[in-house]
Parts: sequence; structure tokens; C-alpha cells
Amino acid sequence: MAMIEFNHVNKFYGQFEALKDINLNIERGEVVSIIGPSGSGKSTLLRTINGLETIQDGQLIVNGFDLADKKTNINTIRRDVGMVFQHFNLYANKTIIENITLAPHIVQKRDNDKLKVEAMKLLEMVGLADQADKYPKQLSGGQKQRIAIARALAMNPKAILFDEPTSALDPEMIGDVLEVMKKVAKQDVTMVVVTHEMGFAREMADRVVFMDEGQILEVSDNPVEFFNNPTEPRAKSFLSKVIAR
Amino acid sequence: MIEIFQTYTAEFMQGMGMTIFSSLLAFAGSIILGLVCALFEISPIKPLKIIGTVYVEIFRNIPLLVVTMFFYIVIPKYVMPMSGFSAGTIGLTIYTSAFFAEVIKAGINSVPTGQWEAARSNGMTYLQAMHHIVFPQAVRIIIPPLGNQTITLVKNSSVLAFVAGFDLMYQANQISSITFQQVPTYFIVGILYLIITMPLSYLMRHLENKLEV
Repeated sequence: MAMIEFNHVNKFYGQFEALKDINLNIERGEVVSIIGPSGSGKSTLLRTINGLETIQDGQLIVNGFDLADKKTNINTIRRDVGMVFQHFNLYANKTIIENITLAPHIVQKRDNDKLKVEAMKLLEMVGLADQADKYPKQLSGGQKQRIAIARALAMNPKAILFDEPTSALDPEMIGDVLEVMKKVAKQDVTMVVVTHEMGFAREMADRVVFMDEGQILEVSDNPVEFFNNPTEPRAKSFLSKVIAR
Repeated sequence: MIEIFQTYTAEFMQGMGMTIFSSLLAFAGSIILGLVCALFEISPIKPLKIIGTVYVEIFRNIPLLVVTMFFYIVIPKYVMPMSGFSAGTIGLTIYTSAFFAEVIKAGINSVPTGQWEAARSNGMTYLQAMHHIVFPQAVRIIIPPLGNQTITLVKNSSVLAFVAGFDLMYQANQISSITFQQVPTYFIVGILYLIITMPLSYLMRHLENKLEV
């Protein structure tokens, strides 16, 4: 069974149709990049997966749970689906290590001492073990984003949603964050990555989804081929602009 | 002036004690009621939202004296006997809690949405996110305006004078009507109010500095 299944999903903001007839299956362990121009619905699509945005129509099944079903407890899905935000959203009132251990402790009721040990391992993985007792505002953007990834991983998620994780970063910070994402991609966690980093999409993604105006226009299971030779004209024009940049 | 103070020290002190006591009770009550109303107002549950909003809109838009008179006149007449002190303190609590609620609500609302989204995406329930992430951040924002409202509360406690609440203002009215020495009497009362509110101002400033991490 697929990790994430969109069947004819529509989403409206009032009259405006933000997502139009979305059909997409994302398999367990798969790395999928969603690209497309601003306002094309990429982030909206991503945010429907963990219920930050609701859908009006169609069927969306995540980890076996139907999001439109009133009996589905959204918190159950969110326990297994982490999220990394463009603006990090680290808990400002918690230290770095608390940012990582808080949810596993209070949501999954895991032992705090063991969690601290695990959190230190995660901090080592993202190269920030020396920052454990600092507060988020003492860190740079790139460091914050690596912590945010560690925070998501601490829940042992089945999937992680990345919402433009490098878009708010200074160019010299992007590399460190992409390094960490590559490490995550090698694990068996499902990744859905909305990104403007074409390098990551080309190199790491199993599939690339191209969106425009709320629709999925092209899905390619050969990213290298897609970037060299997009079939859809709008993808072609988009890529020529991004790559020329 | 010193003569007046010396002659009526007991009355002034008793009044001051009542003012402080009433203010403390009203403060504690307003914190609890204000917090509940604020949580109701921002609640995703519609009926709670309506209750909270209606409460706040009613009680912050009626003069304090009218609210107090309601408890002094209407309640004893139809429900149960009530002293002036009780009526005054309850009126003060209900009136002030509406302002506390607005301050607390504004504080919670000023915490960036991203903090909510991160906490909820991390699997926390609404209440867990509120308790661990949003409210602690809101407190820092809430403290300064809440301090102002608390000082206003102390000053507003002079409404007890209208309902025979034996507070500082009530005693001043009594003393000045006996001695006809209005100017020195009210001057003393002004100083005594300052003695209560000035330390409060300093306490608030201290808290503000301390909360800035």
C-alpha cells in the first residue's frame, strides 16, 4: 500500500481552486520532489498531507488513514509524518535539545533520558552536537533548519514533508542543509520535498512532480531525463528560466 | 495635613488594607476568569468562542460603577444578601477580567502561526501545543500590558467607596465630611494609593526585564 495516495483531490479557497484533480501515489521509502512556479499549489499540496490544509473533495490516504474521514484522528497521522518548514519554526521557548525531545516525550510518551541520548546522536548527524543547550535565536538559519530536520527525525517518522527547506537560507548555508537531507534520503523514510533546489531534485529524487496552477502537469520517474528533456511545454519554459538563473 | 493623618491613622490604614485586600481578590479572580475567557475566545469550538466573546464585549463596555451597582442592588434584592465589599470586589473582578481576557488573547494571538503549525505537525494536540509552546511564549508578551491593567485595577477599586466597601476612598470621604478638610485628606489618600501602586510598577518592570531571555 502506498504511503500517500491522492485520488481526485480538489481544494478551494472560496472560489479559487488551489488544487485541481490531484492524483498521485507516493510509495514507502520514496523521495519525491515537487517543483513548479510560485503559487502553483506545491506547498498547499504538501500541507494537505498532514492536515495543515483541508481538502474539499476527493480522497487522500496517508499511512492507511483517510484524511476526509471524520473518525480519523489527525494526531495519529502526524505522529508518523514529520514536517520541515521554510521558516524552521523551532520552538522559541525551548533549547535545541528540548526542541528535539519534547514531542517524542509528550506525544509518544518515551523516556526522557533515552530520548536525550538519541537526540545527541541526531545532533551529531546534523553536525550540531555542540549547540544542544542553546536557544533557537542563537543559531543561524542553516543551523536552525538542520535542527528542524533532527526534530522531525526524532519521532521516527515514516515520512517527512519538506516545505521549501532552503528557500529562506543564505546561499552558503544551503549546502549543509542539503547534505543532511541527502543523509535522510538514504534512510528508508519517505520524503516529499517542495523545492527550488533543482540540484537536489535531479540528484536525490526518485521522482519529480511538476505543478502549475494547482495541477500536476508532469510526473517523471527519471529526474535526470526530466531536467534535460521535459515533455510538458510549461515545464520546459519553467526549467529554462530556473536553470538560466 | 499631618494632623489629619495622625488623628485618623486607624481609618486610613483600615481603608488601605481593604483596598489591598479587595485588589488582591479581584486580581486573582480576574486572572482565572480572564484566562478562561481568553481561551474560550480563541477556542476552535464555536459555542465556547461565542460565550467568551459575549462575556468580554458586555463587561468591558459597561461602566465599572454600573456593574458594581448591579451586584450591590439587584443581587441583594432578588437573590441573596451581599455586603458592599463583596459587591464591589465581584463587580471589580468581572469588569477587570474582561480586560485581562483581551490582553491574554492578544498575547496568545501574537505568537507566530508557525509555532502552532510546528507543534501540531509534531503530533501534539491543541492543548499540548498551547501548554508547552504557545502559552509560555505568550506570557512574555502578556506581562507588560497585564501590569498596566493591574495598576488600573487597584485604582478602580475606589469604586468600593460608592457601595460602602470601607476602602481607602470610602474612608477619605468619611474623614473629609467630618473634618471639612478635603484638600489634605485627599492629598493623603493620593499618597497612600501611590504607596500601593508604585511598588507594583517596579515589580512589573523587574518582571519584564527578567522575562527577556
